[in-house]
Amino acid sequence: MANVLHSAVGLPGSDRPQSPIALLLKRLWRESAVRTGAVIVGLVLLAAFSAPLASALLGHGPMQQFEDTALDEMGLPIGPTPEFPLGADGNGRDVFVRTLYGAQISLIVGIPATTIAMIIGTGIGLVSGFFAGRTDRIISQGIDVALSFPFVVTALSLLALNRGGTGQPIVPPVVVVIAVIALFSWAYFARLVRGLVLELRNNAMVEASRTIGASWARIIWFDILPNILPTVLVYWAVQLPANIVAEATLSFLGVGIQAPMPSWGNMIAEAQRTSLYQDQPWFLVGPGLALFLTVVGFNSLSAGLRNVLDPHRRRT
Amino acid sequence: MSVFSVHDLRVRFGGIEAVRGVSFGVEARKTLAIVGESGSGKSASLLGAAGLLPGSAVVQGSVLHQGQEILGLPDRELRRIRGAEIGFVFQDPLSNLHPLKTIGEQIGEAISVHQRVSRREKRERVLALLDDVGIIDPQARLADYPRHLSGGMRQRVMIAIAIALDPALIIADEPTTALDVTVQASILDLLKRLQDEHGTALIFVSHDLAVVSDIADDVVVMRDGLVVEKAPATDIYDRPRQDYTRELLGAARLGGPKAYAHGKVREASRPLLDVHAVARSFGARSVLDDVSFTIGQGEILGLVGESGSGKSTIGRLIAGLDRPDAGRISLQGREYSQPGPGSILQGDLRRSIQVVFQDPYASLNPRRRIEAILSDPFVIHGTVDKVKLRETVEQLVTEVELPTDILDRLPSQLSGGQRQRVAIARAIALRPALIVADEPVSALDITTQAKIITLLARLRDKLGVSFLFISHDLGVVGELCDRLIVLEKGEIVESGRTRQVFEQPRHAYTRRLLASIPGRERLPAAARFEDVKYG
Amino acid sequence: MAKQFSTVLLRSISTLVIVLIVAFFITRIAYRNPAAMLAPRNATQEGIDAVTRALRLDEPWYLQLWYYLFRGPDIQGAPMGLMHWPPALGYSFRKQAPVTDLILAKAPVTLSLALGALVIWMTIAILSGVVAARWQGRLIDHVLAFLAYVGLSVPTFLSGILISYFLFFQLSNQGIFWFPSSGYVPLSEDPLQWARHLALPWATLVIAEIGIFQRIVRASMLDVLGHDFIRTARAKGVPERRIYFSHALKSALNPILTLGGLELAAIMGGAIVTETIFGLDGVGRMAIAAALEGDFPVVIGTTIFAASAFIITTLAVDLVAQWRDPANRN
Repeated sequence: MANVLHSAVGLPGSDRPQSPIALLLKRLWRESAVRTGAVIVGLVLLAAFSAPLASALLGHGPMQQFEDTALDEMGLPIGPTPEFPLGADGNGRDVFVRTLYGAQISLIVGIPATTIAMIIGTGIGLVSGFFAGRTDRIISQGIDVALSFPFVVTALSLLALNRGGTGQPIVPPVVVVIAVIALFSWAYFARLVRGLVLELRNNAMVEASRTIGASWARIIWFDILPNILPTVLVYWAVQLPANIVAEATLSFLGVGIQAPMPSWGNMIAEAQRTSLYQDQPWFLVGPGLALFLTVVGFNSLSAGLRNVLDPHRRRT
Repeated sequence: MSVFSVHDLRVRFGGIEAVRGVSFGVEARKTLAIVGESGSGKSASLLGAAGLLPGSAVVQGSVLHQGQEILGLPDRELRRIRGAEIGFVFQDPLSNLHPLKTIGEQIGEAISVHQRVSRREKRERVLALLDDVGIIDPQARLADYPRHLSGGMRQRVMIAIAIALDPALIIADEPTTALDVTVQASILDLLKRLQDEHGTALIFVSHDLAVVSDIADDVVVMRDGLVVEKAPATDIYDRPRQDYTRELLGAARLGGPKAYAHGKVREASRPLLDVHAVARSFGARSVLDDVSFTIGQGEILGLVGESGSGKSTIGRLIAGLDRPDAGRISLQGREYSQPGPGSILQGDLRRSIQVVFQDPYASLNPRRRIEAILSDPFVIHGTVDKVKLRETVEQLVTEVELPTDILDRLPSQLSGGQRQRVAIARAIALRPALIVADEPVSALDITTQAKIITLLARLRDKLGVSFLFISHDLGVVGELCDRLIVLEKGEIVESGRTRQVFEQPRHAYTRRLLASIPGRERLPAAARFEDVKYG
Repeated sequence: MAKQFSTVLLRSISTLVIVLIVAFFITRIAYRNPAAMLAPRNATQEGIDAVTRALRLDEPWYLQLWYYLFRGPDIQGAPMGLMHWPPALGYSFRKQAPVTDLILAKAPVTLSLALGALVIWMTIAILSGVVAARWQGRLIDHVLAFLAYVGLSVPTFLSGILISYFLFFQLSNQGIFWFPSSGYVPLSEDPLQWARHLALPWATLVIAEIGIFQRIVRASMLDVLGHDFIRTARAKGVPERRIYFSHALKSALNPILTLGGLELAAIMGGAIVTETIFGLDGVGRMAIAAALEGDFPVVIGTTIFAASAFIITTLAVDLVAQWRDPANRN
């Protein structure tokens, strides 16, 4: 336990107290996993932001079809050319531009979904860990239930909910996908936070605050939150790539982001379904590599963050 | 020829040189004590010599075992020596025994990795070893896991592992530090007996000169990776040459407190705190039973007991962190803790009782600066306006004899002693009537302990605050407390003025506790003289 | 121990009941005009009305739930409700068959896939994790770390496509037919063919899981190796190999087993992708098809099947951990 509490921001007796944030950044940058991850994540962000720019420069909209220029006489998509850097897909759309827009979708879905899950999960976990007894039992049961549901099947039912009388979606599918993913990942945050709070709530630090008369709100705000936050944030970074993959999986199965809107998942699905990737490999490799790199980047970043921030991992 | 000796040994961890050239040796049948405070390099030098440090440590110099150089030997050959010719006993027997293996397996393995033995023979030998180290009914204990045993029994198992192959040398690294004082005495007796019977050489590492005083033939005093003084035990205890040795000896309380608290009679007509017939149990286990006592204004009351005696539970009940199942507690005539729901300490009563916890690492929020931590009491109770806050906090740290520049630091940037001073400052900030100090010095080095004790006594004199001082260490209690109560298994077995309890203990348990204080036979010359004078 | 067991069991059962009720409501709300969706494709209005009556869709929801649990649909040949023995998960009008039978027919495929993959990835992960911990910081550790990161960063649907492309399509082009492209042969019929048909799906799942588990094993081993009792073993003169496999692994195994069980449970749901790519006719594929076409008795049935698999696995893992804990011995 003592571990959680040793921030080890500096060594005893170091003469000049440095700002903890500066020290933290320095330690983060010294971690090679953080550097690698930051560079890759930076590239992904760049791709997402530059998508409209690339689209304008090439003159290809993400959903525009160029049946004349992008498909050969047999109707098969062409490979990479200066005009189509990654070639075209079966409908004559620009794979490069679509891949860049796919980065947007991944981040637009992944980041809010993970953040919502973190906020809800942390709140519920705090309540559950702090107010032991019946509240805790009820919430733990709720966490168990949420974890027991099979993700894909239930997500499908929930997405079916979104169909209006005419079969048109009531709310944009992006919103539903965000909600579905958040719904399936808050429980992990709640379980994590609950465990951390249970560990801390009878700790000497909290008892010391109680004896000087601190209110529960003050204890949560000053003693508990700052001490669990690093672990929660690290877990956010761990969960984010998983949620990006979750979006891609739903889209791959045809129930997330729907074509023609570009998402790496539905692009890969199309490449596989039509088998066109056997002639035009970039149709698959473009979105596939992008998805892989994104996940590698965030995984590397979160592993590095964990090494530096998560006190449970720092012992050895 | 020495059984085991090191020459100019150096141990480096990364950029830090933990051991900077030390030499010592031990003869057959003799005991060498290595004494030093934390960070002195005493354990690192022995573990380094035996090749038991992690791979990141660099060990240089020379280590001779039976005249043969063993430093730098390949692991395969070192392994033949470890366990077979050198036995090891470590500090905390719970963490040092495998939690998922039975003690029978663990002792048996010590034999079977070095010798081919049949299952039956192994079992016989394990039983004999358990018997040898004084474990009753070994047959029944074979299938036990370490967690089923008491601390003392676990340490006996560790010793059984160490002597399994009758080695010529045993290296014991703080083998009694985590144990209760009576258990410590019995383990020391056991080691002495085994040494006599088997003619083993013993290297005994300790932070406390008192602990080794009864068994050491020679003593090496270490500090900061260097040997400060190396001499036969009689010279160290009677004619120490170095200042540091004298300082350690001064802090060591051989055979009990060196001087009793000067206590004026402080029992006022109406006590400050009144604990009446308090009982507490957790589940089916009764921890406290019918405990009653009082604390007077400005009095320091010592509460002594071994682990599991319920002494910390009493502290928590008084501090309002827990409530009793029966009985009541009142402060200045106002009852505040009785069975039932609801919050325990309210309003100004909350401010009147403060706590100093054992572990200064755990009780300070690592993410807040000392200034924020010490401002808290004033901010919460709104007693000081914002302008004067810094000034008030500065005055507070001066009261606990800390420089004001520590206010800008984080707890992790302070030493253990400094942290405990901060914890004390927080406790006195609201000028409470009573401070519950739960083992406030047991996590500290022995010379730091002495300084904190002096500080507490001074604060009492200056502020008139009362203390409930909870400790397992009779020496500390004797020097600080006016009165003391002895707790055994949740019941008070003895209470009285400190000196009276030490000199005329009435209860058998108190007598046993007192007899277990190490160092009786090596009272410093001056103390022995005083003894004679007292008659 | 018995008391602990009964509390855990009770909690598992109540979790299952809540899952059941929630799943029931999600599907009832999600599919509007269910009778039309449930009836066979070319059903007349009478057929649709018959479905409505059989499922009592015109009655209040609590009666619907009650019938679902205790009576089953009012139709010839349909089984009784879930709270009977054998428990029945409803009746699929689309497939004209009880859901329980449908699931039981496909369960062996999914179980073979998940359990087989579990055995393979656990074995490799433990061995390579111990190796990585043993030679921490050396070349082999870096190589294994790299492979692990690649593995855990490839989504299953991507690695599945690549595996089927290279190991099936390209090999077949070369005239090498090591692996069949799809299909399933029961283990009892021909164990060799069973393994051959599952080899590629297993590989897909194993690649996804092994990276995570190899890292967990390594971290867990390193954590344990820092404990005092390992030093005691060295002080006894225990050989290194024995220290790693007997002393350290024994302690490191608990978190690994727990996570392995949870992952197995998650895979029961996640096998959908693998089943889809490799054309395996398992529960997952049936569930997704049913969800897409609104065959909600099958959706509820598979949801409950997956949730039960999850709960039972968690329970089993819990019991193993408790059994290994010396606090519960003697």
